[in-house]
Amino acid sequence: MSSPDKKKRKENVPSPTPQSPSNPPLPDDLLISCFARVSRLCYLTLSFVSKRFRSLIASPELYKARSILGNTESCLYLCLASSSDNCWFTLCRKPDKTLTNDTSLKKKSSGYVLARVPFLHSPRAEFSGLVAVGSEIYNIGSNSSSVSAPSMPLELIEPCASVVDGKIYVAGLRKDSLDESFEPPIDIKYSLKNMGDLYVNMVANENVVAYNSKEDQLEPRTWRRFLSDNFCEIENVMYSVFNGGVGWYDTKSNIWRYLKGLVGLPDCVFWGENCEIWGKLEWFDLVVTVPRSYDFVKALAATV
Amino acid sequence: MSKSEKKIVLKSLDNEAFEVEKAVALQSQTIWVMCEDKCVGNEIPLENVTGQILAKVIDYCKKHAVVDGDGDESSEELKNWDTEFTKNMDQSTLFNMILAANYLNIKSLLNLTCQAVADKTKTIDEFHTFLNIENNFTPEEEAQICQENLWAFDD
Repeated sequence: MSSPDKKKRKENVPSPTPQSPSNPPLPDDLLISCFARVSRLCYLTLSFVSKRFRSLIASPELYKARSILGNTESCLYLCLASSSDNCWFTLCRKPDKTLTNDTSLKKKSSGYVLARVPFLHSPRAEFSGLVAVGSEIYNIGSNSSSVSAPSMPLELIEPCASVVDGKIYVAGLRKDSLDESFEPPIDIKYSLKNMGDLYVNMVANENVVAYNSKEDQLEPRTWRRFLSDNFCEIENVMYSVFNGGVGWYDTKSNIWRYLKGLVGLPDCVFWGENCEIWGKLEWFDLVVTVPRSYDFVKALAATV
Repeated sequence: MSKSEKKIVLKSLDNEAFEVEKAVALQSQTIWVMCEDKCVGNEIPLENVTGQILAKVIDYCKKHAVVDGDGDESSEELKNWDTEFTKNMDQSTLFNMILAANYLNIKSLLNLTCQAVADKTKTIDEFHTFLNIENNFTPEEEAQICQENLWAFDD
């Protein structure tokens, strides 16, 4: 149904702004309404468009709008630490128009980069203390604790946090027990409602404890030593990165096994037999270059 | 009498008059409030919308009024209609539609048009041209943003 509109356009549109003869400028709230519908991966591109866009991308209203629209996405955040500070990065689609005259770009690019997230204040963080719940990232155990989180009723050494169903669980050594052996003086915070026979695995001091919600108690697990600091749990299986490969814990045989099928992942050594879990490598790429003095702390997925 | 009460006349900024069913026009919260609040008679002046845009808004409202009324048309079909509706809109029309949907307070149309903008713009250049936004970064500022972002530690 095309109306006889074409001929009338010129006289119809009032254009008080000389530089935009046809396009009326959209007010901030309407731009935010548009931005909220753009994938979060593209926000780096948006931030290069203009100063106004850049400040809108950082505005809390935008993230409120995304949440109201139900348009939130799971986004990867990465924490790196130097001796003096922490810096955070987030995975973004690379802006198509690079503003630098960088000719050294590789041809085969995944199209992703890690962009720096400017945090006003980022206290020191440890792998075991960082957790994401929804859109928030919590740093448990940091003394210079953030704004809204409730303080823990008791001070723990090497607190280790885990999230199940939106609740944070913290295990650790009590300060009054100087026993290094990680025997029971472990305390759990944030008591939970009965969720059936549920285990939350937590790793502290290279030991694993499991919280059994049915029994409402912590059970030490007799797992083999963790070979690295980087682990995560997916569908009841603990995965870890060590020796350049990805491993998973076989609780039946009580050993770490390498994940099979990650063909193409560079610098990986694969060995082990009877592997039962296969992975598929979707992509890998150089996403950021950091100086040696920076250490990897943790990668988290937050929903924004 | 009863027939004329069911109709309402919308008058655009450029004095174009559109006679529409009340049920169609009342999808606009703004018009709804105007009808409730003051007795404007049968004619409602819309000072922020041109005839060209208003015609399109009415097209949209007609389509959606029918569907909401009898519920015969599948939501799938309506979705396709919506897609077609915004598909070939040029940027100026789309922008004016957003402003009109906002002014007239028609939520679903605002959603549709904002989504269309989001779908049509993917690159920095597209944002510059499509949204008619001037790149007001100085070269130094651009370099600084690059530094702060991805290429933070490149050198």
